[in-house]
Amino acid sequence: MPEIDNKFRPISNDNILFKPLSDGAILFEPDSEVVHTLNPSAAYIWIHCDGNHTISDIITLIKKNFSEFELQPKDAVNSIIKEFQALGLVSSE
Amino acid sequence: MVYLTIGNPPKTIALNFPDSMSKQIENSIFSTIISHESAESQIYYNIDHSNNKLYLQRNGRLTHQNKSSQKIIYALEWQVLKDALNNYKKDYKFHAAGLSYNNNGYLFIGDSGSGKTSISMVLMKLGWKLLSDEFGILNPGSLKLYPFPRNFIIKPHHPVDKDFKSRFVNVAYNTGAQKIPIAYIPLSVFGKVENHPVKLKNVYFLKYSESSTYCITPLGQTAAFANLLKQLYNPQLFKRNSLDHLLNLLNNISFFQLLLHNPFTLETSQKESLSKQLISG
Repeated sequence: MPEIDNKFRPISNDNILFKPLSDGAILFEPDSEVVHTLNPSAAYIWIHCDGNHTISDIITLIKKNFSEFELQPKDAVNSIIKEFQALGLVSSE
Repeated sequence: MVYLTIGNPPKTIALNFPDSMSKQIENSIFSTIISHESAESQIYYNIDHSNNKLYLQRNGRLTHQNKSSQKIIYALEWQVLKDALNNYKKDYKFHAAGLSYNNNGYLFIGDSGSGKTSISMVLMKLGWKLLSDEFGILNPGSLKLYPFPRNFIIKPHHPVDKDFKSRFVNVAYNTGAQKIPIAYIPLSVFGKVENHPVKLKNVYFLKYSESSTYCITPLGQTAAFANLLKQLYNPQLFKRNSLDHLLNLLNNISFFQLLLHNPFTLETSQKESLSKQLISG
């Protein structure tokens, strides 16, 4: 699967409610009333989908702040952003 | 005439029936909340006997007719149950058993067959009070659990002695696919009933375990949230404005997974130890 361009700056959808939890977060889509639960790293990535951080920035931050991953940090960020995009939660390239 | 008071705010249901049905009404699933004291009622049920047939009316409107008194009682029970559930419109209704101990409320949430009724019976014997073994009714603002007492419906998988069951009302329950024998056993046989709302303290998600003992593990908020939504009878309540209520619940209540095989098979000391751990969390 092709990687997302490292210079891409993802932006989260404005109307989605983000509620932090002690071990992750909830995303709530008010129009469809769909709820997503995020683990801590996905929640961290979501916070940084603010249009200011590039994919490369997010990978660097994730490497610095999280130690345990099933995937390599780069693959984890790519995979989560792609999932957000597929669900229409963040902007596409 | 008897009266049932249920709901938040409380609503009274009046039941009028022929004298010949007194025993069946007294043994119906609502036996624990039947009162003979006259009260102003918002809903009236009337059972008439005429031409060898029974007629059930709700607020003057015919809803069922049958020759079998058992079937009329069964129809009445379901209607009263619906009335009662409708009277908790702003509250979350979970597929759960609710119990209290020292005025603290505990929810045991789980699928059918996960052990809600079994653990209710075991804990009642250890001094816990029952709010309901099937409907966990929770006010999301106050975090109070509301009582929904009804008789235990003992199904074939419940390890209750046959001779003991035969002392109570036994009927066949039609699931659609098959008929299963069930027995209605009054809650008083097992212990005390909690008749007042209590503040929720802990939530346990019940999961069947192959192991003969039990295991309690703390659950994170995201897993708790996903499990809560799964077991909510009225997810339509879950809207943007109620998200904060659910977060209030997550932030103020402790959540655990309770892996349980069959609480009846635990030794007495294990049951006591389970009870203590559930109380403290």
